[in-house]
Amino acid sequence: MTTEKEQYEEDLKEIRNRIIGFGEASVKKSYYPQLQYKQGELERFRVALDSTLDIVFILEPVSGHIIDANSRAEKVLGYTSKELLKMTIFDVADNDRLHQIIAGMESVIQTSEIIRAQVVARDGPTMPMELSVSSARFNKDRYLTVVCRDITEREEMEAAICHSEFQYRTTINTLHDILVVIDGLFNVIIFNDAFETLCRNCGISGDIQGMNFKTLNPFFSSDRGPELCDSLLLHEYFEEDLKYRHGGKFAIYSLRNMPIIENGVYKQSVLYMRDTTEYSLLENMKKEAFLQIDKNMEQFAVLNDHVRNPLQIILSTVSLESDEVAEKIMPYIKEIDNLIKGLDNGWIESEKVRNMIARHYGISLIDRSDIADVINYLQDKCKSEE
Amino acid sequence: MEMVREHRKFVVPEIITGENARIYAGKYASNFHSDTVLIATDTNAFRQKWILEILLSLDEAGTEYIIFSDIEPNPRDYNVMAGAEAYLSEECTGILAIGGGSVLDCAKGIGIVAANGGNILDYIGVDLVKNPMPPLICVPTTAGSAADVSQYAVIRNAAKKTKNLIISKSLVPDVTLLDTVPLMTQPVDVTVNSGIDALTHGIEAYVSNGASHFSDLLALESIKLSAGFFPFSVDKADDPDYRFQSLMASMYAGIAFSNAGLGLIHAMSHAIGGLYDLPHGIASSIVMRSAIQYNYSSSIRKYQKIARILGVSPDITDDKKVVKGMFEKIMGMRGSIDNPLSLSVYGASKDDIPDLVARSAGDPCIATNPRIPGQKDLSNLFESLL
Repeated sequence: MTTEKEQYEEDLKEIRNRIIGFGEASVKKSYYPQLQYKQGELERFRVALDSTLDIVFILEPVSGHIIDANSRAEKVLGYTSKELLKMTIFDVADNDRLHQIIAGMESVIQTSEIIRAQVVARDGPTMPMELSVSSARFNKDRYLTVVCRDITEREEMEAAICHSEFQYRTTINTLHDILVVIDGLFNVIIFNDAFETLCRNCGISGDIQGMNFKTLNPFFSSDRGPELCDSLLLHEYFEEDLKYRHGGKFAIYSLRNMPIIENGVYKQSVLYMRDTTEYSLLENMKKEAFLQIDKNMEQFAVLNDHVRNPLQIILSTVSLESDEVAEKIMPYIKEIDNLIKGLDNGWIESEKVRNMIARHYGISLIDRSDIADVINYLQDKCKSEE
Repeated sequence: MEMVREHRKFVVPEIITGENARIYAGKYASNFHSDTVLIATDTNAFRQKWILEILLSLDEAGTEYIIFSDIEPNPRDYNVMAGAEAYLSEECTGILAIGGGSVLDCAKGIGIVAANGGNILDYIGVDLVKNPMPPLICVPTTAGSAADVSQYAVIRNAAKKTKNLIISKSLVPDVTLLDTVPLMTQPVDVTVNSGIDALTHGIEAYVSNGASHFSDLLALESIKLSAGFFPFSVDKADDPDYRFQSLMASMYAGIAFSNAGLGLIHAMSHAIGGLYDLPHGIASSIVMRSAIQYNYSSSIRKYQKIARILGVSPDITDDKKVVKGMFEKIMGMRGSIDNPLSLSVYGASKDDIPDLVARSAGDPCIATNPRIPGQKDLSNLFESLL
């Protein structure tokens, strides 16, 4: 167990050792280790620079003379390092904008620009490349660096994407129905021509892309109320009928929301809107027609009753008064009765149709109290005769 | 002379001596590839005519320079940080220090921060500077601190009012240009206090527990030279031989203490210099007698040798009388300079003693003192100075 004094003396011994030059870092000031370290750093950087897939040039400003180039430049362009150092950047990329940038960078403190240019290899073939040109100052000198990236594959992919986009645009634009994709904030991301037409018809000018879908609020209403979008739960699937009114025009749209959920998180909604105005009107007309038929049939039933009852009385009265007369008119009465029976049978057949209409269109007079008794009578009669 | 077989190391800078040696500043800056040097100096030195030759040499070498003269006596940590900021912002690649000990110490601090980052106070201690600082060329304008050849720098922590040592072989300057001309314009008190400082360095290096054969040779030569040219008189101010001797004495003592270490005089003078912001020469003079008295028994033979060199009669053998005689000789060297040597004159009281003891006990100089004082010893020593 060392005392405080012993520890102090031990510490002083260590300090003394370091003062007289035997500490860990105690060497005469020498730049060589630092130089080696920096050299190592530079070599590591050079290896990294040479192993990159990009071509890297260091240039003199204005003249564009190549001061240095990485080994990728030799490999891709087919020139030796010595040959490259005798060339200018314009020997491999004679591009108007590149001329302007390199000429202008002398006066600019620090800038960079990316351009696309065709780079020519030694044996003639050209490659589409993206050139990132930047200016840097080292000590009192200014240099330019140009990093050339082969974008052949990228351009092919871009063309494929363009084609794909064209196809999907064409596809969605062929739809007469409206297709629009919105994000959670109702911003329009993708839309088809039908949607654009709707917007223009609503008097919306400007860019549709990025427009807020709520801009259409004033033109639509539903059973939910006038502020349609505020009540929509975009993260849930739903179907909804919307009524469109603008400038004296009226239409009915069927709206279907198909949410896109990724990893349990709501991302976007695909809204599909179909104009169902004609269909709805036709359905209403059908309903009206069936209603009218129903009424007519009821009238027939009543009429039958009204004819048969007096006919019964006539037959009874005549039978009592004169058999001869009764015998003479009996065929006519039977003829009338047969006619009414035929009508009753027709009504029974019509009843099946009515039940079908009632099931499918919700229209029925069966429950109407004023004619319920008549209908019941007729139904009972039909059953007894069967 | 004692032969020490224990491990010893010697680190010295490149040294050019002689009249107008300062004109090599430009050549060395150029050799170091320093395109822009930071000239650390003080406003007084920069007003002198002899500085023109230094600037001219820089111009001839094509070296640009910026001037940093915001350096106070006993340089503050914030002086160093301001200098480092100037160095880095101006992208300097070398330091030319022209001035006395404060300027040279500040220049070392600037170099440390420029090469290692952080705050100068992070490097207080021994052997803590990892990266070598930028090339440092020194033109000392006083003959005493020997900061131009030593591994020491003293920086004042302005907030804590402490004088702190940074000791590292990395702080040994690259080149020192020992020129008599800049010394000609020193004030008398600066000349005397610097000379006493050099003598103290020689004495402490000689009796240090880190001393070696080589350091002893230089320390003794330094003491001999000092004893030869003191007391200073104004009529010697323009005598180049006299100035050259003082430079040599300072250099020998500097190399000796840089490699062997210092002792109690410096540990105590750093404490009182920090607390009362006293010039180093005065602080050393205040503590010298008590410190030598305390150390005497641990290195009698060496102290007697110093006494003989200083002119104390060989007939005096009584230890106390030898110390008294030695101190009188040293005080006699001060000539007309008569600073009071009582600590109470500078505002010290008994209440300050614990603080002074703690500061001295933590000062690295105490590690190479021939006798390690305990807390009680230090307390008694400071009490004797009041």
